[in-house]
Amino acid sequence: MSYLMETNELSIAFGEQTVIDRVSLKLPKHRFTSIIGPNGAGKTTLFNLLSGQLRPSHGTITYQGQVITHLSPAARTRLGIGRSFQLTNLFSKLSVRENIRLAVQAAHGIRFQLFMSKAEQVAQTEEVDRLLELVLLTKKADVQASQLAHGEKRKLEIAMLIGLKPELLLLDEPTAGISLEEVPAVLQVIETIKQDKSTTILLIEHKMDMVKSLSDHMVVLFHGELLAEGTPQDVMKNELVQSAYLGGLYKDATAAGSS
Amino acid sequence: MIMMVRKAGSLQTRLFLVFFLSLAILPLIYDSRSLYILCTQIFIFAIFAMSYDLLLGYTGIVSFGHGMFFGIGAYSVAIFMKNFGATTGNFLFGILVAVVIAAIISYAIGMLSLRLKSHFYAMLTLAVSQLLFVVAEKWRSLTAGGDGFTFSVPDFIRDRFSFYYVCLLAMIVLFFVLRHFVQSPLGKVLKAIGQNEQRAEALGYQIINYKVIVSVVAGVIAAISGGLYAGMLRFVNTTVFSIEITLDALLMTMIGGIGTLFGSILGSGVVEIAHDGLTSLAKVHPIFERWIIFMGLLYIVVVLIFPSGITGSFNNWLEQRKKVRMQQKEIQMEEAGKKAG
Repeated sequence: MSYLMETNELSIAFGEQTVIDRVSLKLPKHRFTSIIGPNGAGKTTLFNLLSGQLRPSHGTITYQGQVITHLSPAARTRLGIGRSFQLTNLFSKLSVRENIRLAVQAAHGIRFQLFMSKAEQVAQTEEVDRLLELVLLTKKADVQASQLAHGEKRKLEIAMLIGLKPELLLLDEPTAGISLEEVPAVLQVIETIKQDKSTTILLIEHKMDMVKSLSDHMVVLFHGELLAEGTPQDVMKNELVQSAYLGGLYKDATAAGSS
Repeated sequence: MIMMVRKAGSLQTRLFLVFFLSLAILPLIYDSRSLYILCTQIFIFAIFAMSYDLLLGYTGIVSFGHGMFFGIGAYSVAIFMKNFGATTGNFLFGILVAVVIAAIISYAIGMLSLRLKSHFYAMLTLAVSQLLFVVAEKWRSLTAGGDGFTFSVPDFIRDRFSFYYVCLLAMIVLFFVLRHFVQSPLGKVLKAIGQNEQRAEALGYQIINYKVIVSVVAGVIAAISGGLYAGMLRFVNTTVFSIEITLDALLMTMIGGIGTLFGSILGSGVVEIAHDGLTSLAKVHPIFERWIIFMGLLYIVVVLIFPSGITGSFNNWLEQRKKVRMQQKEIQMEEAGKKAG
């Protein structure tokens, strides 16, 4: 099996506090991998390392055989790594359409141009319309992003991500803070992307049951360390994971394991 | 929907054209030297304020020393006119040299500070502008220091009537050029950066490049306005490098409405006309000599009550009205539906 991204002994420490401790991950191409772990396990920190918002204090990240540890977030995006943010992160005073259009424009490699051909304009408009439809926001196209409901903002964010056409999609708790009625719509959008089979997806979640049906591969992160990985069934059965999740402390679990 | 947006766009353009056309007719109706001078000054500062708006209104970059590019333009034109003779060629060449110097300096400042948090740019522009102020003060052989110097200019600049049209034309051309600039794909990224830098970067746009580009464009436009200003005064001294010039631009863009370009033109009009009116009241009471006090008060009122300025408030009002109409339509349709049902 070929891997799209690999990390080798990736660590980051803030002062004395080691938040990610020697994590070696392999993301299989065109598969859906999810990282689960309780609050404070370092999931978002790991994401920030992968997308370039943070630089590791130790270890390397390889993407398609290329070491990208020292590339900026923008450079990584251009290589095909797109990410969502746990806290909604939009251009809040621009319209929904304009938000998506900026992502499409980036994917088309239009960065410094002062003129845009008619054909390009039409192509962008068509793509934006298609994305609006995909995330069920067509009616809200001309609303300012700040006026959207929370679930709509998340859907907009996903639309922007797809607009970027990334090869690797990093989703940071896409259902966080959404009302229960809206969760299925968001999951459905993710399911649609997954079915496409051309994107590798890495998703963070702390509610295990939500992702077990979606995931091909599961990684458990606990106190910054890789606790277990495997198929969802294997992980669910893993005793270490159960004790970590069911309130048992990690230390107790390892102590029990060693004795 | 797209059709509607396009239609609104052309309506806006038509309104601008009507506005500019009436400015073009104005001197034919009113024959007053002082009016020509006031309007010329408004046009020049409108260009300067538009350049500041690119930084502040579109990209969210704060500059405390934007006046330096204005000063560079003014001194460049003045020195060329004085030393090489009052010809049109020298005037244009002076502006060209100012543009080149402004581009180099703004590029250097941008590369040095725009990677960092925004206040570094503000501080560095302030420091460099003060440095240039001192240079202009001390390099007496070239600038005659704080006393400044007068120089003669070609006839088309000397004549208030024709120079009115020169400045009006410059303002109109630059307005449409900059409007195209901010509406281009590049300009849209600038707006995105102004809104949310982190997000723009996550979309793959390299922020620093855009910030340096806008910093250079703003510097160059400001230098052109400074060159025109020197032509109008036929005199230059170190006040063109003073912090007040930057503050004027800030005041004009805030009052007119940031991030709209046209607001800068209105703001320039309001500030210059108020300046003119208030100083003429000095005979009534000496406090009006200190017209800047009233501008300070106006500024506070604007920030508290109309934070989006004249054009911004107008746009908000239009949008609000549209919203109410849409809601009324929906209610009507619902009622019609009920009746039909």
